[in-house]
Amino acid sequence: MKFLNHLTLGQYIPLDSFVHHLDPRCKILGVLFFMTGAFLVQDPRFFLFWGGILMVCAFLSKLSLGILLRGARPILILVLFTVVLHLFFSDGTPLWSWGIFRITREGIVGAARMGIRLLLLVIFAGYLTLTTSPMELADGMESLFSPFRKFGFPAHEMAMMMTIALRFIPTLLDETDRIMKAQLARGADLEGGGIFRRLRAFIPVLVPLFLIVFQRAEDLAIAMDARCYTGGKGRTRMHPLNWHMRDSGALLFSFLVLLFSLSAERVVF
Amino acid sequence: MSIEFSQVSFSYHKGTPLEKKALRDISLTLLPGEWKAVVGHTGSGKSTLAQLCNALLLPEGGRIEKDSRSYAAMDKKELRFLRSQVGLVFQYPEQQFFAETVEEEISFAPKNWGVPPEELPRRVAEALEMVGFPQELSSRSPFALSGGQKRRVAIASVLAGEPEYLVLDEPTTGLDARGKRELLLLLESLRHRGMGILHITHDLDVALSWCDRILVLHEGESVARGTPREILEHLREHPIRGLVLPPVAELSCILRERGLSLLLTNDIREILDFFTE
Repeated sequence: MKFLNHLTLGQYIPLDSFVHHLDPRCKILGVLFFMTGAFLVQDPRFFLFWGGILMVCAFLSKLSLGILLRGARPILILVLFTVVLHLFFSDGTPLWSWGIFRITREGIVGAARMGIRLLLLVIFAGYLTLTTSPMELADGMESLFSPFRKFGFPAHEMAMMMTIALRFIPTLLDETDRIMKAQLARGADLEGGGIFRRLRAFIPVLVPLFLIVFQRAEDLAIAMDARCYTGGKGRTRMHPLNWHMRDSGALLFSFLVLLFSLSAERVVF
Repeated sequence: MSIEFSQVSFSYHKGTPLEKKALRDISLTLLPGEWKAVVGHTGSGKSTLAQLCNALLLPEGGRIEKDSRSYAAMDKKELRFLRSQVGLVFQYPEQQFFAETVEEEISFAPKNWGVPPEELPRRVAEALEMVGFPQELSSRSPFALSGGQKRRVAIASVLAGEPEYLVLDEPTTGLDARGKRELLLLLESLRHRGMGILHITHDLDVALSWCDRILVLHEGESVARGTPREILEHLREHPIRGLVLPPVAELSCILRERGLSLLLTNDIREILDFFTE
């Protein structure tokens, strides 16, 4: 009974591919372009184009399309909820109705649009983490945000916090698993009952977990202090980021995809 | 009346590239009133074995039975009942504390097993008495106690469910010498009350000096079983990497090598008696 074994959100799959070797900054910006483009699509039919882009992405990263799609599993319920809301509660030309429920042409279009939009957003976000290790991701963020340091934005500190947070996710999952089992062994019922009963039943899991988290945070702070960590000022890195031609190319490509998506839709349909 | 493992095996991450065999063909019997040790070093599968005992994990191969009833055949309700009868004390059990008072912490398990509220104070008092924790401190916060006292409260919180068997995963780690000795005396008194104890530990010294029978695990397989003396004889012939004999046992082995015909032992008094005779 391993409870928290199936978390795929934010997972990194190390492979030897074109996309994996790209600079993290290029990937972050490129994915942002893709997400913007996918979010601004109006006509659901135009998602076919984005499906094609997704296939190109999968090919260039040597990841199977299935793995990319699986990344959207955690938000499937949210998508379903959105789709149902749009489907049954939109105004417009009615096609079918029953009581307060009615399905309209606009509703169907809206439901498809919102549903696929959400899916694409999550899939692209997952694409970034699947092809970029957490360390690279944090380095890339730090570098991208460093211009804002002039205005007092703590770019290095933010990246450090992100790295630490990501590093501790598996540890905390293990701790949670252990505490849940310890309370189950004392007869805790963590499965049955309504939402409020279940929330209450989780207090014996959450209280110890918070205590452990605080304890670990303090230990880590002391360990960092002991190694004279004083923040990002004047700190060099072991693996400096290098921007290559291929990064410029990939970024240009994703920007063109965004432009095309924004303009072509209005021309084609 | 017993808990019985027959040829139990278990793997983690089954069916993924990370698959890891944790236990292979383990058989063991735990009787009421018996104090049995499972000894092995890190990664030998000890903790997995502990969680199999009360069905937090289910075996992948083989059978586990309590009173001739297989765990695999039990439904949810029966499994919950099983967990009330086979108490499991995790490593560092004080990390599971969540309640504001010792009393509330200890009534957690019996409350979960459906013990009526009017009976709870009696359960708490009995559990505290068993572990030798002063009753007048039961309104204290469990977080404000010393290490040894925390451990006792944690064990009391499992005993309050009135289990027939007690499985402990490394119960003595992190305790000072006095706390450790008191804990072992507590386990001995529980055994005298007829409780079956499965004591999981990496500490061969404790197992040899206190337990009735020992099972030695190595990389998920059982490599030796028997009374402390039989285990000593076995380990002398076939040493296991990572499992070092305690000094007194080592001494008895050396004396044997020098040609003295004494029984191998981890008890210094036995060796002294041998010389005075």
